[in-house]
Amino acid sequence: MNDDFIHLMYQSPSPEFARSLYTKLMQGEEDHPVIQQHQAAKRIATIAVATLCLITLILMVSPTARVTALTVMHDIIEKITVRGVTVLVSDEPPNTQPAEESVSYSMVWSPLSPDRISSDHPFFAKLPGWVPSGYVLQEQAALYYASIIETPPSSALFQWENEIGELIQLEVMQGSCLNGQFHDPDDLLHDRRSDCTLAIYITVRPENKQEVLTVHDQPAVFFHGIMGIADLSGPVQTWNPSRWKSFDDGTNGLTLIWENEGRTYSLITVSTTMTKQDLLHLAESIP
Amino acid sequence: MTNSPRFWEKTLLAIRKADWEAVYRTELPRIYNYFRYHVGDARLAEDLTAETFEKAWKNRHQYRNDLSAFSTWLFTIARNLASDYFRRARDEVSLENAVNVSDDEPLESLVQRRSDIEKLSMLLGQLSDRDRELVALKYGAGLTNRKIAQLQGISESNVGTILHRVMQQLRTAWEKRS
Repeated sequence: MNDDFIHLMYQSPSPEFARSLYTKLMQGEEDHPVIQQHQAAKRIATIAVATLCLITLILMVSPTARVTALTVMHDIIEKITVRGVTVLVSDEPPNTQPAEESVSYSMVWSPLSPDRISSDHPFFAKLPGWVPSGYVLQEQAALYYASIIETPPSSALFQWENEIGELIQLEVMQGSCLNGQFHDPDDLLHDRRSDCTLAIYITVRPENKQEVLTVHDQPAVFFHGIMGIADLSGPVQTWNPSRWKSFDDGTNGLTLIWENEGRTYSLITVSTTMTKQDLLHLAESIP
Repeated sequence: MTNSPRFWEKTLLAIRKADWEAVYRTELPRIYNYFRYHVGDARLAEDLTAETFEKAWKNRHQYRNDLSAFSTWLFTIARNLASDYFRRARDEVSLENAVNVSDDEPLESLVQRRSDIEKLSMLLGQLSDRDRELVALKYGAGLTNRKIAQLQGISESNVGTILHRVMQQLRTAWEKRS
């Protein structure tokens, strides 16, 4: 039988409506937190320029200051040439409160087991060959999708836990920024960088300086502490990887981020025993 | 740089390169037609679509991991608005604006199409809330049974069974009235 009749109701929105609504939506953009971040970045850039002017004046009168300044500048240059990762030191209090509604909107991820991800989505199945003793890979793994519509997944999240509830989380994300560093304080989201299919934006408190390490011969950003992790608590089918568990204490945990072969990896641990070497060992064991 | 240390935080925020215009282009017809299948009236569907996007758009960047959460959020808002709407004005739905009129469309064709849509809208209006919701998600928003199952909290096979039964019911009624 012919079911064409059911499609009679379907019609495209009128172009006038689509255009006017989009214009209206984009007019409200100035109220958005991203713009606040943008403004914060501009403030930082302004301060940086002012500081540079001051340093220049000092250099003109003091040879000792000149040597010190060259050392500092070398350090800065090294940091901003980290490929694929933007590192921003900021004194802006980040918005640690997730959207009130976000806890409820947990539908567009698939609570798959790591085995299913390995078999059905091998691109994301980049599991380490080594984890510290006592940590067990959890059944709560997830695939995130870029859209509710049928699209390929955009990332996978795996979690390991030990007997006392300490965690390791590995997110394997599709995408990277292949054509060199993109530190750009005026464009934190890199929406206009056509070569970047994924950008990571990090702010690090200054007392916990980030280090540039190497994983699989690729630059990797390491720093002490995390702000939060995806909260995977609860039984399978009810837990919600879109739920974000924040930490008030910025000294918790370790973070390592790097890119390799079109993927960006984020490795986070909330543990009193794991070290930087453990994190590197784990990262290097990912094939 | 004068804030006290407690304001210094570390943030790890992964932000996918988000082409929001593309998201808008993709989601707009889905949300719009979701409402079309619910309310019939094109202008009312536009109003509800606009309300949905306005509620969701300003906070869209908070969805750190993927655009899927944003899409789901859109549908959550849309479903709540549809539910509110039917609570307020179920009997006030007008088909006056059910058809977008094209200048090029012959009058006879337009009349026939309007008649067909009125008939379909009436049949849809006779469905239960749940059945009509499933039809709107399937044929309006164009979602797969799997996605509908996730949104509705029921099994995928259950979605298929219900939709099959609803379509049989609609088909029979449609043919009777033709």
